[in-house]
Amino acid sequence: MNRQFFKIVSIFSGLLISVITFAQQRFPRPDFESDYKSPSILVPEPRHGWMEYMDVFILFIVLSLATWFVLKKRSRKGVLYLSLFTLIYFGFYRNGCICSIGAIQNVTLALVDPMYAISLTALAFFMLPLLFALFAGRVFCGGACPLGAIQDLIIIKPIELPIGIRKALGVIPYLYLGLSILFAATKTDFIICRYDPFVGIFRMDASFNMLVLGGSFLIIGMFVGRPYCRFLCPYGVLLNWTSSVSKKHLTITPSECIDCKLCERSCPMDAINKPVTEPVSRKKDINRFVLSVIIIPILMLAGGYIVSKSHVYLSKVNRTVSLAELLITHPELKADPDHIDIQTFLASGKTMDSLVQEATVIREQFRIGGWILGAFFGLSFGIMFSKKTIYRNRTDYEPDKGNCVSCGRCMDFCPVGKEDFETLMKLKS
Amino acid sequence: MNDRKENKAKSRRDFLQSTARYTLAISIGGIGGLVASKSKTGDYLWQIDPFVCTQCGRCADECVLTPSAVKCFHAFDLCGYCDLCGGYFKPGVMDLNTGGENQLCPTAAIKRNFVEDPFFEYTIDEDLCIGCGKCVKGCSSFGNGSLHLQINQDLCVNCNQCAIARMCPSDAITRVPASNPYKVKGDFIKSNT
Amino acid sequence: MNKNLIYLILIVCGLAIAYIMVGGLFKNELKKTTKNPYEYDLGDINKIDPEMIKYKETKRIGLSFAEPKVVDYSSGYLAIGFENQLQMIDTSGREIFNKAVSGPITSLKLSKDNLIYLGCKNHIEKYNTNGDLIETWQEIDPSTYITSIALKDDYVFVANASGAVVLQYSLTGEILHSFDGKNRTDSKHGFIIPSPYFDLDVDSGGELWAANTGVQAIENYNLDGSLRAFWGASSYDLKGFIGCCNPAHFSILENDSFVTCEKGLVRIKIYLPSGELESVVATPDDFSANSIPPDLTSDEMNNIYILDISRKMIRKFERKETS
Repeated sequence: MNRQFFKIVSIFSGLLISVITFAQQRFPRPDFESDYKSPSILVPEPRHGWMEYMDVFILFIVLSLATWFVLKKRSRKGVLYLSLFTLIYFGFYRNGCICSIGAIQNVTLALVDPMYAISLTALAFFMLPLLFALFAGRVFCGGACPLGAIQDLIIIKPIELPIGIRKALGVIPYLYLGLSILFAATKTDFIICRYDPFVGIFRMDASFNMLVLGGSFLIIGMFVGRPYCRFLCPYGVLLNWTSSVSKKHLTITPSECIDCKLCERSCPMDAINKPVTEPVSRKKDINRFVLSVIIIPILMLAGGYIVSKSHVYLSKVNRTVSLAELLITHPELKADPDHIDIQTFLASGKTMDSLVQEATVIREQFRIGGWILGAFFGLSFGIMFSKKTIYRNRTDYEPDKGNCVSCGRCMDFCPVGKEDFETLMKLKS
Repeated sequence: MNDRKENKAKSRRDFLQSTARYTLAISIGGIGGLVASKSKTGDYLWQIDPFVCTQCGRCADECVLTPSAVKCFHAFDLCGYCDLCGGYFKPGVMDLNTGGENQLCPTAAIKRNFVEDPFFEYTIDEDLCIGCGKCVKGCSSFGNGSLHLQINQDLCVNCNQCAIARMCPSDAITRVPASNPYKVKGDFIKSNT
Repeated sequence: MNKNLIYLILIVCGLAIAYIMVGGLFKNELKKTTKNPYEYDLGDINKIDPEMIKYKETKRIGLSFAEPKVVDYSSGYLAIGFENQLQMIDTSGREIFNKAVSGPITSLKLSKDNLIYLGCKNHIEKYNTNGDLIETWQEIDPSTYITSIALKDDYVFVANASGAVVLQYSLTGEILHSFDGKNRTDSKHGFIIPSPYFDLDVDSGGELWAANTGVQAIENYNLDGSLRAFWGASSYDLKGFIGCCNPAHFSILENDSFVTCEKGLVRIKIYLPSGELESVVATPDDFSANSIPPDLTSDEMNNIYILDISRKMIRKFERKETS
């Protein structure tokens, strides 16, 4: 790689001898009689640096292009080529890291940990897609997300999932988002990155488990459009919220929907809302809505109570807590010379008390975090239910603003504005 | 009549939507501003503190790359240039020569070159090194500790969460500013802790 | 393709994902003990023939100050140097005095006339047995690192590890001479001191011996700095010294035998004046793993006093009764 850019750090021997106080000390190298010169230690420079800013710039361009393709140009082909570029650049070239999905955790950590300063790149990756979603819908998912792109390209024979299954699985992203924020905030782990199913494929190097994970998603993805995006992606939750209230959004038809039903089966993500002709009764509607709003606080309290009750179990994911617990329940393991974690702890000179204290603090964070997390679950599900209560009279085929990933497939199916169709219409009239 | 009602409902919906939109925009901006306010322009990379490292061997296996981005670095200034090198020879060898059966390194990544009596130079072939830390253990036990593990930033893909850091039993791997991406020995003095 | 088959595939893959993610996240990774596949295996070298061990531990004296560093014995008393504290005790462990010093103490010598020469990194301080500072010798230069002091007649020999030189002082603190061991053709490399271990001692015949740790040898020098004799070998074998900086410490017994201490694998061994391995005092098993090589000294009865730094105690080893 950039070995020619090796920075050579020369070390001034003797210069720092005056500060010697520790066991590992700097002593003058031997006086060689031959003209041998000892080499300097080589520290290869990081690959990135300015490239990170380049990434932000490229992300911005890709998002803008995706917006243009979806809203103005109405070109599925454009989005497709864009997602191919994304797959190659952000996926295979940049190894799927940095990504907006994982940036959730960096933002969380930056909010809770005063010592951690988020890099501007990660922050830009977190914010840009959300801002675009506010004004143009989930164009990020359609064109700028490498995880979305790889799934979008392998949809072979999409089947329509029963609505019940879809709704049930649709709950998972909320849980995943909540948990990943909890684990990031307690400095336990970045689980979104740990279980990124495609990063192993991008790097062409993965452990067996990650290979199975990625493979399973790809196999499912052949029959169910974008399974990760719809049923797991935590960033999708945020994009769903922002996109639901977006100013503009992809439309299936360029002008007037003629209810031809051609687009009905075009969406492999099942994100097209069909016309609803149910009679609207405002009074009943409002009653139902009010009722559902009242139960939201109850749901939040219940959720908080349940999750905080399970904080002991959740906190076991944290290695400090888990080590403390293991040492308390299995003190005999201290004698096991092969148990690296325990032996390292014992050799570190840390006392058991300080470890237990540390673990107690983390567990308390989990208890408090559990309340917040549970309340978040209660709120999201409450809103989900209350939305259900509002029946909207819909006469046209429309994309579901929250769930639509702006891939643009449906646009190709709409005959309105297409040449043959217009000629046919003219002939008819 | 019905149309007007419909229009009214529509404009109410639009109003609610744009309120929600701007609220969200402001909160995203707020969160961004909040975290950006303490962020320095620099990025973070992962690095090992060689003084904390206990050479547990996990760096070789836990890295998402194969072979690991962790490599053995040699601080020549600390090296004693000994004939009997604890980092090069398997403990207990009889003859101090470069025979494969004498070498400690599982991949024979350390090269031994004669300099002058009684000095030998030891260099690391990074392409062969797997970052297991076996030589580091030998060197710090019997030698001066000039061999030490570092993450080669040219190879590291800088995962958002370093997979080795999670498994490190001594928490030796932390984020370091990209402007100062190494903690090589002989180049800095251990903080007084 | 059959719809049922597709559903079957979907369910199998879904379960695999759930198993890997949920199972992986909540699996207790710490429960399973994982051996380090790249363990540094000492093999047989820390196994020492019990026949060779001719000493047994008879006494332990706990120490009450932080960071013990060095120890020396003379006529019934032990002087112990800590990082910033000087303490004198008798062999039963009773304290004679203790005194806080600015330090950092890096070496110490107790003379026959009960004066304490304290090497404080780059200068020497002299104390009497009440703990009063008698004089402070001039600082040599900031980079100096004094690792040993030896007394012979009217001279004080001081080992400076960072410069790899032995300095010869008068009793009043004047530098008379220094040598780096290089000034003779058969000692072309002189002292090679890769780390702060560079010990000196004087035998009963008044000969000055220095541990040239870079070549794993103990060398005898004339007053002019020329090499007279040496012995030692670089080897993993019990007979030799391992690694880059050994022997880390040594002391000469009344019978002119040497007691040596190695770093890395802490082995305390007795060598005859000829350099032949005589016996083993203490094995690595007697010390905590990865411990700092202990300083040692000996009394008139050839008992060995070892300063166990990690356990903060003086350990006395006596020769076993010979049957």
